[in-house]
Amino acid sequence: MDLQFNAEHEAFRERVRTFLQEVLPDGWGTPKHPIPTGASAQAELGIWWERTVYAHGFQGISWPQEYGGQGLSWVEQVIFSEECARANAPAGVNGLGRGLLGPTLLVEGNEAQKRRFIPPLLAGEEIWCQGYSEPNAGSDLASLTTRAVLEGDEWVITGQKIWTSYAHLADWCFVLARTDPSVPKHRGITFFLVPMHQPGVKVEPLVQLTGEAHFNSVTFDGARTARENVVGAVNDGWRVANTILSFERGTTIVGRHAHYLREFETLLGVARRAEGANGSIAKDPHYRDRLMKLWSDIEILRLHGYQVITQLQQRSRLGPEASMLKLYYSEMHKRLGELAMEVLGGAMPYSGGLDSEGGGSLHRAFLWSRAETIFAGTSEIQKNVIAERVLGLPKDSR
Amino acid sequence: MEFSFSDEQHMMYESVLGLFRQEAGPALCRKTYETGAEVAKSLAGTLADQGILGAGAAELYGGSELTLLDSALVFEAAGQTLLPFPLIENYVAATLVDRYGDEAQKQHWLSAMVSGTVIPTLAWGNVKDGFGQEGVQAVRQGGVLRLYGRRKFVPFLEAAGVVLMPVYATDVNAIMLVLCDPTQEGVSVESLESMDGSYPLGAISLNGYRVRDGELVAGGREAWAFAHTMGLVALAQEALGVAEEAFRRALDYVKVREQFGGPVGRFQAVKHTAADDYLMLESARVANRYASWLVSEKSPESPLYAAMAKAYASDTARRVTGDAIQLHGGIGFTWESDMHLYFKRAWRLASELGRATDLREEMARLVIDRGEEEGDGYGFTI
Repeated sequence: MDLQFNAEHEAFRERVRTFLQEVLPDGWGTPKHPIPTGASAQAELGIWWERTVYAHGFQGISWPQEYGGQGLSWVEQVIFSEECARANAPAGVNGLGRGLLGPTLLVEGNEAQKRRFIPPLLAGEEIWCQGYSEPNAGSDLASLTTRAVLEGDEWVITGQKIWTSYAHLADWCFVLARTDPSVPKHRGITFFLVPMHQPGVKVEPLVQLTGEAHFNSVTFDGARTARENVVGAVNDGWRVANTILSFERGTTIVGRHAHYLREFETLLGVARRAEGANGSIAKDPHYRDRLMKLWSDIEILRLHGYQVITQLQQRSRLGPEASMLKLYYSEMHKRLGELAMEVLGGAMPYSGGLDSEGGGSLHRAFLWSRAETIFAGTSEIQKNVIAERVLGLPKDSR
Repeated sequence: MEFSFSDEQHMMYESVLGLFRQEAGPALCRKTYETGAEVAKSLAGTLADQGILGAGAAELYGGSELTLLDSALVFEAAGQTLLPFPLIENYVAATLVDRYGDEAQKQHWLSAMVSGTVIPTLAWGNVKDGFGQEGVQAVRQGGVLRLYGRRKFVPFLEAAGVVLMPVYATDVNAIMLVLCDPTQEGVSVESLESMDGSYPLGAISLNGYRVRDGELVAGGREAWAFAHTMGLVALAQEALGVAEEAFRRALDYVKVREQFGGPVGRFQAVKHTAADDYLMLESARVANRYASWLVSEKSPESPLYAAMAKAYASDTARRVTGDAIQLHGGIGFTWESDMHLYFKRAWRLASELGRATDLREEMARLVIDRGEEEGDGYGFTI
């Protein structure tokens, strides 16, 4: 048992802190320098962030140097995420590339694919989106109907994808499409890399309940991609896709506790100023209990993170236990948002409200958290995964 | 960064768990329901032989100098096997004497606690529980310190050779710790009915008990606070053990119990309960591990995280053992099923050293109020 980071890691943390201080404006994320809102400002900010992180040598921290990564370990990656969360750094616009496609290519891609796609991904020159969900294939993703047919040296893709985050900014999309309808559904799917800028691709924004339009509907109508843009073998795409899911669910979660702790601190500030039937909410036993429950939940997320780091160091991959973390943080964040709205009381309807210190961060957390228990596998799906793959309960009876 | 127990700690756990499964388990637990505290006496020798008693004491006095982190897995194993023995009381009493006692006390008491010839217990039920717990006062009369009062809910009192208790010294307005010999004059002991029959309870009444040389342990309030912190983490760890065993058994059951033409474990309603419970168990596990480590490192943050671990483990154990009954259906409500043994033990453990809500109030004072005094943030580094 040793929770100290070694001197090398601590030095790395210092480097990250210096970097963040240098590039982020003074008072970033506070009323002194609020985070820009509005679609185009956020997109601009996200792209700037991708390229800034890359220019300072912090992109692809644990990826091999030969493809433009930094060749460091997961520990440095975690330290970087933690420090970014603490500083409220922008999220960037290529999270799907960095979090999903890159790690998958590193494991499943061939040499040419790694050399072609990873360097521009890291540089923020090519933005990626994820073409998985369809109007009739959500939780039951394997029943997807988008078709891909080989014509000469090109795959021709037809079908509709939905909830496609950042498709409006993306240069490429990694797409699951059916290549053999005659076999059971999991066995006829292939993993494609498809260029977005072509006549056969149509992107239409979908406005989310937050009022923003981060995600889209993407229609592939005879869209084309080169024959070699298949990751893994043809008809082996389901397995390839599942390689990434555990990355998505696991590694992106480590470091999040710092973000939630910051939101908690904002919430605490609000609770101190808010008045209820028994005076200050921060002195009200009911809210004190709930605040401490929430604080415990956030602290325990930090500890789950330590567990993940330890596991990654030992076997460098995460299995179905990643589902546990995804379920944990998303449900917890929903409770955070709900508690915050209750604490705001009569000021809750006013998005600025008493929450001005956090720049509306609590309202954002409240609304955004409704997405988190749905995307990347709903909570219900995560529970099925835990029950079947971790606890060994029998499949069947959905 | 390595947030895990060492191989050595795991090996010790495996061997202790094996021993407890062989020596204790539901059968011995049930026997304790019938025969009471006597069972502890029959276990003491076996536990001592394996070096499990007084493990926190220095080697010089026969202990193994096990930290709370080392011992955490032993408490977990005790929970898994429903061990009917005041093991946590033994660890805390020995560790307190080791840390705060004088040389003579260590010589005398530690060897007795380590060898199992004397079973120590603690009168550590909450004094402010509103159920007639009044505490004990120490009054100096003609150069002699005498104790008056009553402590209820003392575990395994009838098997105990010594009761470590906090007393309130009226003349100096201080808490003192006394190693009280229940066989002496001025003491009467009665047994109380215990819902968790594997944890017999007693009440000790002191009517002019004369504190003799060597019975007063130094440290006062600080020592008692330390006992409280250690106790919280140890109880949390035992609660985890109880809950994970009930959970494992419920899981085994839903895999074989058939309804509607197949195992009930194939239904999502069952799966989702199981997944929720598993997540709580794994969360309690990391909370406990962290708190055990902080105490072992003598971190000033120990009280906060000990309270967090105990509150979380209590909520977890109550919920998971309750679900274990539910997942068993009708058979789960019978005396024949072991599920009630885990359920009662979990609720009993959850009630000790403060309700989960009391503990979160302790935390709130540290996190919410302290932060307010300091004026910025809440005083903890992220």
